[in-house]
Amino acid sequence: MNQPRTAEDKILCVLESIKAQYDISPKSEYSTSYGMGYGYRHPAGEVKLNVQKELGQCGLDFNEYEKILARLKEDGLLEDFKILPDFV
Amino acid sequence: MSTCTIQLPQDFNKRYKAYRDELLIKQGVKEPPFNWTRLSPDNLDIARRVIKVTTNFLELAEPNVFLGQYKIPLKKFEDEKVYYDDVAGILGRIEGLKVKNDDLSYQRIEQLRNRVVVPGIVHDDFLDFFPSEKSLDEYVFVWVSSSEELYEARSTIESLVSPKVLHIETSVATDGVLPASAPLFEEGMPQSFVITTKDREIWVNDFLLSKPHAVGANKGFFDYIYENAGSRIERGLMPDYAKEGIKGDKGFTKVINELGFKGEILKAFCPERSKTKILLRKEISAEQLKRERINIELLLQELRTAHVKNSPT
Repeated sequence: MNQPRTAEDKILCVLESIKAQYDISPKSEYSTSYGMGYGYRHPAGEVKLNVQKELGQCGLDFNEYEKILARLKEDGLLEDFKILPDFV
Repeated sequence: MSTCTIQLPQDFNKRYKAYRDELLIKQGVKEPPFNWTRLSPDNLDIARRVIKVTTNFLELAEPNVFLGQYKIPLKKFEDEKVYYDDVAGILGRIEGLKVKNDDLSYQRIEQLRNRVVVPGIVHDDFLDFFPSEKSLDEYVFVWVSSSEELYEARSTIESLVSPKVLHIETSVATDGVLPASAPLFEEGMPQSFVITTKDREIWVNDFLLSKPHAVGANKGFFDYIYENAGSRIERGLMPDYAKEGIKGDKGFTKVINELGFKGEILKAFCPERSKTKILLRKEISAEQLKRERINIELLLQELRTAHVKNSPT
């Protein structure tokens, strides 16, 4: 897989990962109560990503990754995000 | 190893598509959508009729099972007083659609037909979609990979052909605030979007965007950038009263987010923003929004949601 090179490539790479995860995440039929139609979505509208995998796939360091997520949030693509360490 | 948990907006798919398209256009990977405003009123009306017939047909018909191609009778277009050249010209400008009639040389068609004609084995559908000379004159063969742009073109053209004014169905309460139970119904696209302030409220057209008093001292900040709309504001050059609510390391974008400027609303009214600089514009026309590839439908949806959230019940 080609590593993204430009800033836009990197944003696209992160966005595509989120979309891919969103598409495979469990969904349930969901009908909104405020007139936006209905469809299928994750009950909590939430996806989880493995940060190390994302960094490797998109050729990013942690700071860049965080900045891209913040930018996506600012542009209304994400409502919120949290990066948490996994304790095994 | 760490995990990132992401909370997505309800309309994520829609936002994803618009955002992705915008990035791909910026990179030159994707062609920007055709600018329908460039057409004369007569041609715009032709485009409207072509798209109307096409969408009506696609809604009910199934594509050919082998080729994923629709076969629209030319007569349906001619009944609307549009002809093959109009159809090929208009549909050819819409991404995701391809009129195939001109791609198929008669010679190749004959070859293909001869190759597949094995009586008793070949499915009728298969033969049907290797057009004969006659059927090329009677049908428009349209291959559709995605109909999203087609529907987007339809709504853009309809708004250009008959722009209607946003109207409010219910009466306005005496204090000028619409109750949340009074939804706004638009029949068409507003021609422009304008920010106004009333007492301690920020409005965009007839939508209550936010009430700054509910989010700390951001009112002073907003008043300042509103008074200086159209100029680039820098943190270092701002008076103290305007910076009161943004002490410490808090960036301008975060402050303006808290005032309701997020997503398409943010893009529409704050074309430039960073942690220490911001440019606010009080008014923007629908045409300008289209030029800047801001999703007006999404913008209206966000404004409606904000209005319902902020209005008293």
